Amino acid sequence: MTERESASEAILDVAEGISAEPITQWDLFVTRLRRHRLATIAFFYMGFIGFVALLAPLFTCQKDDTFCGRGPVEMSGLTTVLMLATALLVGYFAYRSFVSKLRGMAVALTFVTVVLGIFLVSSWGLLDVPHVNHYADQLPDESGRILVNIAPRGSIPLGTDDLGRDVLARVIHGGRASLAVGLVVGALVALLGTVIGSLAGYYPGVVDQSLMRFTDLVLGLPLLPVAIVVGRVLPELQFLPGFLKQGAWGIAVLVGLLVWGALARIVRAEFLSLREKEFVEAARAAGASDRRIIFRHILPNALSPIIVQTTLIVGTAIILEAALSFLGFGVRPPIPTWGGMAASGASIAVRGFWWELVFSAGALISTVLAINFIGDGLRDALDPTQTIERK
Amino acid sequence: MSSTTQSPVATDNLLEVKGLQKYFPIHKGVLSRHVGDVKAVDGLDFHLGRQETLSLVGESGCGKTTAGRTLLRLYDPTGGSAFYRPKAGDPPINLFRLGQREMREYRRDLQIIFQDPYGSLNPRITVGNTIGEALRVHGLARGSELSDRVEQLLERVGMRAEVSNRYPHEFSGGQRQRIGIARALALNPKLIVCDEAVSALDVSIQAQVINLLKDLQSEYGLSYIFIAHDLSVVRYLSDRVAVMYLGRIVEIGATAEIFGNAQHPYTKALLSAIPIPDPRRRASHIPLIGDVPSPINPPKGCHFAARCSIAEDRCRGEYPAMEGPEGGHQAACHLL
Repeated sequence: MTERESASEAILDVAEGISAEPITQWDLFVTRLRRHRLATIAFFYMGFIGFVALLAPLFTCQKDDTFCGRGPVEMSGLTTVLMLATALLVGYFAYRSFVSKLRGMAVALTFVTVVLGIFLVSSWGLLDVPHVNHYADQLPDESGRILVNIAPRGSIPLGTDDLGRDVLARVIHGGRASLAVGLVVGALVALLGTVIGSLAGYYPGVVDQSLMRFTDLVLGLPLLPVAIVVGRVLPELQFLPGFLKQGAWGIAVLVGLLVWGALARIVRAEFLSLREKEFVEAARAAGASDRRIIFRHILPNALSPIIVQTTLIVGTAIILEAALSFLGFGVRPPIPTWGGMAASGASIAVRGFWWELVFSAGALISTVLAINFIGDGLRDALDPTQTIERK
Repeated sequence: MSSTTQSPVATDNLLEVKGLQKYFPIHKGVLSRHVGDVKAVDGLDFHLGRQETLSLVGESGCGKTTAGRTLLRLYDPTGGSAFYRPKAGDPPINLFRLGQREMREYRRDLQIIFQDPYGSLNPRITVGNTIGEALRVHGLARGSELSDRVEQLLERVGMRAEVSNRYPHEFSGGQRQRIGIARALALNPKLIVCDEAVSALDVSIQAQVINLLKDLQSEYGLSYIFIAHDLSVVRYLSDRVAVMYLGRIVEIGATAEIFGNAQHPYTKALLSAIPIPDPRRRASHIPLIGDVPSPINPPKGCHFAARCSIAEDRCRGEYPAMEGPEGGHQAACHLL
């Protein structure tokens, strides 16, 4: 079957028969994405993780005294099941609304906006005021003793750490830091990389040369050492607003400022090739301004690599934040992060208490994998030359 | 179609081009030192009458596309002038002297149809928005007026008005080329540069598009600069033909003159390459040996001398001047 035939078949697939509805790029994109099984699962998984992280305080603080109290967490079997079921349902609807044709873009965008909004607002408290201990959740037994290093069992599904804190609660809260870093870095990188890459690609000569040499400079910085040094100095800087000194925000901005170079290069390359296209010349012949050509003709066509690359950079950023926290230069304890938990988990794992290390590292690895699969799926789905094959 | 064949240059010509030059600089090394130029177009003189079709023909790389685009200021001209008279009797305006802002005003009159029907439409924009873009940019129409105008244009080029909210990938090459034509027509231009506008199409579709172009010409009084390498199409469509070789015009004249009474040896060789659909006729093919010389360092004498079967010493020493009546049939050869 030729590519054209299978593509038109896919079109029919989407439209369910020949209809008068125009088939948009979005429809084709969704069709291709649906065929990408790993990416589908990854989308689903990320919806789930995002939801859990978003509502973390609700799931892990059940004591009626204070919402953010130091009280014990009683994750009964039923609560756990209910929580998981809700999360799965939300993840599923998020996915459905993202790929379904009819509601399409509008619903997906609304959803993403709402989630981002709630997420940012709710994580503000966490990230801004790091010493509220609602994620510490130490578990006393009946006699009031703190239960340290408890192996996973019924009411403590992932066990407790060496301070007697519930690992599940901390994994869930740790996800908030990781996802916050991912989102902030993603936004920062998309903005910086696109703006710098576009300008360099559209205006050859001095603008291009100076911007790209600057990009080379940033790409040349050794990531981890610079992040460690700056991360160390960050809390001492007087002129910085408070929220940048503590917690995940500072790390996120720092990482974002270090990793946009790859995207800028890709965007520049796209611009260089697209600005020679005939439809751009046609727009110029029609008298369109530079701004109109950039925003209406070139940028939309360069969007695919921007989306894909940003997604992949988000994965890298989460790893980098975890590495910094693991080394003790990232988010400071007791704020839980997957990297920090892996560090403390590693120190007790040698004594046989493996669960904190395994579950925090597992959460980290699976999340980064999921993000990379999404990136992969997006790359395939956004590539118009991609042949659609039925599996 | 009108004919300005043998008459001297009429003062009310739409366009008079003098010494049109376009060099592409070559930069080398870390400091981007300017080491030379690709002389893509090196001094073109021609005129274009109202409602006239002038074809630029020549082999690949002879500069015909560059000439067309430079004329529309899609490339910055290196030298020369292009005097444009919007209406007969208007004072001529040198398009090459206009600033970007002033040029925008004249872009309404000068449009282009591209060769590649796939590359010339933005895949992310609906057909209707593509056609309407120029109207919107120039603030000529908006809202329902705009969509009416777009539908009108679509119907004029033989497509259904409903397709305006569809995307380019849903159309065939011929349909896309019609969309490209509708886009060029949107601003009621006076001149359209057809850059190999039918070369990428099937022969049957070619015929449809060519006839559409002809109809539109008489309907709207358009002038065409038709850039092509298919000589049978050129013969059918044009009033006058300019044969280009390595950035210069070697022969120019009325279509009948060029095809019936070619003077320049290059033109003769080019014409002999047209296949004749008659098995009994023996082809008298004049083979061209060798390659076109480099446009970076063109030879001192006649550019064609190295491949010419009748070249003399003189041809290699100095470039021949155009011979023939101004505005009529002219050729640049020492041996006429």
